[in-house]
Amino acid sequence: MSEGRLCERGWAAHDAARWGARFHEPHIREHGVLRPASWDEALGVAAKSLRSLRDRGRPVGVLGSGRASNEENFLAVALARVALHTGNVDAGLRRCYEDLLAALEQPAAAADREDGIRRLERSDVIVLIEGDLTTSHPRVAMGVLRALRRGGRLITAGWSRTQMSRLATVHLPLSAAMPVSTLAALQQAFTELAARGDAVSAGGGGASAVERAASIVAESRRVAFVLTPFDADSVVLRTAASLIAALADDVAAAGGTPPLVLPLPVRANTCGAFDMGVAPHLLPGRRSLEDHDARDRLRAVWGTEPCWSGGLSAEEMIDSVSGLVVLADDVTEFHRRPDRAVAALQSLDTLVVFDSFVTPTTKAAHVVLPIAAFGETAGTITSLEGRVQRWRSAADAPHSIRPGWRALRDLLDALGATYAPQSLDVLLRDIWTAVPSYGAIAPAALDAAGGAVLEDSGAPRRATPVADAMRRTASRRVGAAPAEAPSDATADAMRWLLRGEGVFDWGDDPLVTSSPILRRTPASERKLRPTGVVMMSTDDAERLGVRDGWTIRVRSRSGEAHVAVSLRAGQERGVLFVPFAYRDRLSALSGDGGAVEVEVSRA
Amino acid sequence: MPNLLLPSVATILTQRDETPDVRTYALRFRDPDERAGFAFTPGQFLELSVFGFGEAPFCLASSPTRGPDVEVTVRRCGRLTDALHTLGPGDEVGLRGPCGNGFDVDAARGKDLVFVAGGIGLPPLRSLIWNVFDRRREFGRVTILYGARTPSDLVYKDELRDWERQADVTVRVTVDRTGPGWDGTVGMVPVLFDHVELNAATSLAYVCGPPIMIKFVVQDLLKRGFAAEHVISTLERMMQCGVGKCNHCCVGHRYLCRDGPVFNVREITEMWE
Amino acid sequence: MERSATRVIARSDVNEWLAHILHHRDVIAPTRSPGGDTMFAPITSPDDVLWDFENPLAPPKQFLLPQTEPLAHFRRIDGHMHVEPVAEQRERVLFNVRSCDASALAFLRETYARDLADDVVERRAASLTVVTLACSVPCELGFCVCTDAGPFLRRDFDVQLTDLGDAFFVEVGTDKGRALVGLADALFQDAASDDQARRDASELAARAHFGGETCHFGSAMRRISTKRVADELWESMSAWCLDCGGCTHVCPTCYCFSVSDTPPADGCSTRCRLWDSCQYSAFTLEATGHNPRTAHGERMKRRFHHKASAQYFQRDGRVGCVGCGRCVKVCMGTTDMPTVIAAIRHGTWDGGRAHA
Ligand SMILES: Cc1cc2nc3c(=O)[nH]c(=O)nc-3n(C[C@H](O)[C@H](O)[C@H](O)COP(=O)(O)OP(=O)(O)OC[C@H]3O[C@@H](n4cnc5c(N)ncnc54)[C@H](O)[C@@H]3O)c2cc1C
Ligand code: SF4
Ligand code: FES
Repeated sequence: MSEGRLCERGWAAHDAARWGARFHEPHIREHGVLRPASWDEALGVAAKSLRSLRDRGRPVGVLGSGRASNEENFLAVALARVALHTGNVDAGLRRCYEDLLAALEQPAAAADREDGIRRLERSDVIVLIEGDLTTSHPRVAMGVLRALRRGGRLITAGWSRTQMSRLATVHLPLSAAMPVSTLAALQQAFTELAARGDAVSAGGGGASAVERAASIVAESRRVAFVLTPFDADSVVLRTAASLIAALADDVAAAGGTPPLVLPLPVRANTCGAFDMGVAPHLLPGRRSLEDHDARDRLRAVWGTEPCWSGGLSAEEMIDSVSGLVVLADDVTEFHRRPDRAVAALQSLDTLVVFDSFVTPTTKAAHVVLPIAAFGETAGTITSLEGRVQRWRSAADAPHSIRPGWRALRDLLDALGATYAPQSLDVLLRDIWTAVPSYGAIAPAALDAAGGAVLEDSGAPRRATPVADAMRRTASRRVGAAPAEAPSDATADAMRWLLRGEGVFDWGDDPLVTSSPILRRTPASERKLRPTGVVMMSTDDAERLGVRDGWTIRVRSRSGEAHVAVSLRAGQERGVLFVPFAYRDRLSALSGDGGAVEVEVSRA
Repeated sequence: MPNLLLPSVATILTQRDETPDVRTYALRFRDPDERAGFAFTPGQFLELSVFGFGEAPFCLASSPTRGPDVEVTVRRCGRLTDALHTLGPGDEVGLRGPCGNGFDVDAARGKDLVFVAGGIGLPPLRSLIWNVFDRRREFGRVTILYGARTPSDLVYKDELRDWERQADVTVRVTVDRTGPGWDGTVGMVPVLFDHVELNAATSLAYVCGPPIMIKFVVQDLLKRGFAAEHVISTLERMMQCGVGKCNHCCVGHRYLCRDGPVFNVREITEMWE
Repeated sequence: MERSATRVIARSDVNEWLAHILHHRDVIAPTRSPGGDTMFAPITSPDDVLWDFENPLAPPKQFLLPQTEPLAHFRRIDGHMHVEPVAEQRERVLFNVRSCDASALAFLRETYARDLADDVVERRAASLTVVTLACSVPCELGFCVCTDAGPFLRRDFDVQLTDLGDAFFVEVGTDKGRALVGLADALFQDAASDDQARRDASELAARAHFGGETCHFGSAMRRISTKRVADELWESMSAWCLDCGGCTHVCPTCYCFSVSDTPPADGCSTRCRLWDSCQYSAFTLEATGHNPRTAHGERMKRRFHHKASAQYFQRDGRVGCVGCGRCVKVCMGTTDMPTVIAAIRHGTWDGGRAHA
């Protein structure tokens, strides 16, 4: 994908599409069951039900996806704004990326054309806030290793001792109770250091980890901050991003090269989907809904006056619309409460799903329109660093599965929309017109190895007016709250905290779960341990007398559950982390997320 | 064999539930020539296919002395074994093998034999035990020690009683945790050593079961004077091909599916990777 | 087999020879992909063949061991299961293969023939004719001199070509090679002693190209085989590997596989052999959840034990690495073959900085 390199998924899942259970032809629901249908019939049924909802003024919406190409996402936006005349268009897991972006603003003079990972590789120090970067973003981890090999240093902040943290000069454990306090302390330490102007002395003996980290940042010329969606909580992510932004500003102000700030999205094409306008409050090109220039361009491309209003987020849509179109995604993989999401889908008047894999979402659909998977169809995607790359079809999609862009175009046609591009080339040209930053790329550059880099890449592409205010309040709000000291009480008298981990997606990707090789890897543990696990520190396990894989009883004010433990070294004591994949297994205990106090005992 | 990795079709003759999650199947090759030509030694295993779900290794639990049909005893613990447990008499599966080295039965002639098994470790020993009973004169005293987690996890319950009735055979059974109707020994397998007389000098010991149980039993046997060469065990690793090609089962440069699964304890301690 | 015959073919005649070959066989050669990369792929015209190219990232191993290889179809007919082997029988020519890759194909062929022979692979190997193009100008990252797999070959080829400028020196190694030359025998002249001299000079120059410091297997192999590599060294090296499996996928000699059936549909399914990687943590994971090789360092140790230990060398009669340099190119971390071999020799690890 990048420079000819692939992650595990790319090497081993190349034809995983043949392994999964798939719909090989369109299906429509009749008397409660899905039955095969022709494309014409299925498109007709989908169009008729959606049109009728729209005409009766019932709420409808469209979910794009970070797993779909730019072209498919652009058509999903057209489907919403042109054909269904609604601003309800979003993608699962867009939010946690935007949480990071919202608070960031590129520090002053970084109008640097280099793309992010190249700059990362040349950093003198990298500050990484992570869940586990090596599994969540291997391509970025590679950049970190490159920097370290060149002599750069690494500072990690996270929940446990990961592979990256083992390579770090300083590791800052995050506290489950106050996850951002460590970052606040880091920012404060740096500010004080900068004010005193004696970076070196703070690094001496007796300095705390935070002080040492601050002084390493202070003495480095090229600084990079890498932010992953390390937490599932929106507020935490926003606050953390604000603090990092403030720290980056301070670093820039202290006279160094303006640092690189690299927020990481969860899925391969989250950036592209965002660029294409898959967000309820933005137009393609990440323009505001009122942007006149963007409106003019879209009017010209779409040949009509589309809906310019804002709409609902993905989760709001699932809860409240009557008709929903889902593109290449499964709601159980991103919704906070997968069980409720499926129930909500089942109560929809109309659910149209463009996807060929058999998932809880396609199973709940009224119309399934099977489209080709990644690797079976041509298109472009945009990487987290703003590289637009062409994706060629490596294998042909089997049976009557259609390329996603064509199936979407066919539905636009069936809905009688003014916009329904006749070929992939026309579609690409339309995107080039509608989205100026893409328009600036010579189409031929896409064919260069590694694709072409968007002009304003390497940096978050949108500065919000709230960002500044947010980061100012963030540092005040969390102040230098002391990290919770680990409780020294005996195991049975201990207070435990149950807490959700950050978003981790690839173990749920159909290309992974259907690959005979990858579905057994621990990253797709959900399939390995269907009853779920919580992560526990090895110290706690010893005190409690449990071993890896043993079952414990967890009780909170709202319920009780039995769950297996998975042990992790270097994790904060007294905390049980719930991996994202298992969030629903313990939702009865934690209500709607966040950290809750629980009692724990051996089962 | 037409192809190294190609299974032959076999029909399930009978099934018997041993425990809630362990079942014994008797299988017959569909092709009469193949059935007639199938020869194996105890300790060898088969690659069993459930069509559409892949294949997995299972010890031959029956004895070559009892005719050409074969038995396997399978614990349900994954995709393939789940699928297998939905099949019954008349259904067809695939067989490939025999694979592996098996026990050296001739080397045991004239010796006293000690069989120590834990849980689902009894099937491969059962093959050898039957073999020994069918050629009873060639071997000395037989001692069978068997343990499982609970009484309901014991396999071949009826047979254990039959074995006990044979001449010159001692059978002792224990469970880790007692259960309804159990009045026998309670404790891990090594506790049974206190209930029998063993002569290390004249005996060979065969140990099969979970890794942790093998570890403790072997320690005990060595302490009781058994030479490492005279303690024989089977090793388990993830396997895919069963014929020494796929590399899943390697320990160092040893291939458990070809060089094993049967090794004596000296060989095991010398193994490293 | 009789002494290798040596011939010469004029550069201007090569395309005609290729045209003859294309007439009789499928030809796979390094060629330009639509995306502009160099790759091994079936060609339809002699002009598609590249003569001056960087060795493709994907080795030609896929033509002996496909990444996904259907072995048999299972079909239920009238209530009975039928096992239908997948018969694939095509005479193929691999053209312009580099020396290292030809050695690797020989390594794989021998591996599958040893002990219990895998007849599917044997048949495929038998129907494959390998024409190599000796590396007069060695590639940047290769270290084949250390593994006895190049830059020129003495075995493992059916036909070896050496570029002499206006002509190619042609060495015929096997009967298969002889047959291939025989398809257009008139285009070949017997080699003169002057041609032989030019070829030998080219080989000497190529060898000289490598210089002194490459990748010394000998001492590393002794350490690995005698267990003198500290576990801590594996552990610290493994922190610099991202577990992506790239090295094993692009390695021309890696051959670990798994076997899996496609999900049954209408009573039919297909049994496939698939490339797997010993670097994936689930490689040794058992159904019960037990995994004897969980530590990342142990997986890395496994890979190098298989590639560079006396135990395997004795079995295989070759080093399990042909020195093609692909893992250097593909590694997302810093733990490629030469870097690790150097670390083992020195007994210390510096994150691969010396090789940066
Ligand atoms: C030599 C040998 C003899 C065995 N004999 C018996 C027996 O008599 N009775 C019995 O119940 N079990 C036996 N096992 C274990 C049995 O092979 C596994 O329980 C079985 O493979 C689980 O497969 P699954 O498909 O249900 O699990 P999955 O998780 O679906 O496994 C997928 C594949 O991985 C491989 N695999 C997974 N676990 C193991 C494992 N523990 N050992 C080897 N391969 C594995 C198999 O090829 C399997 O098909 C034996 C194992 C070995 C190595
Ligand atoms: S050694 Fe390099 S190429 Fe191989 S798995 Fe590790 S990171 Fe990937
Ligand atoms: S199981 Fe394949 S090599 Fe042993």
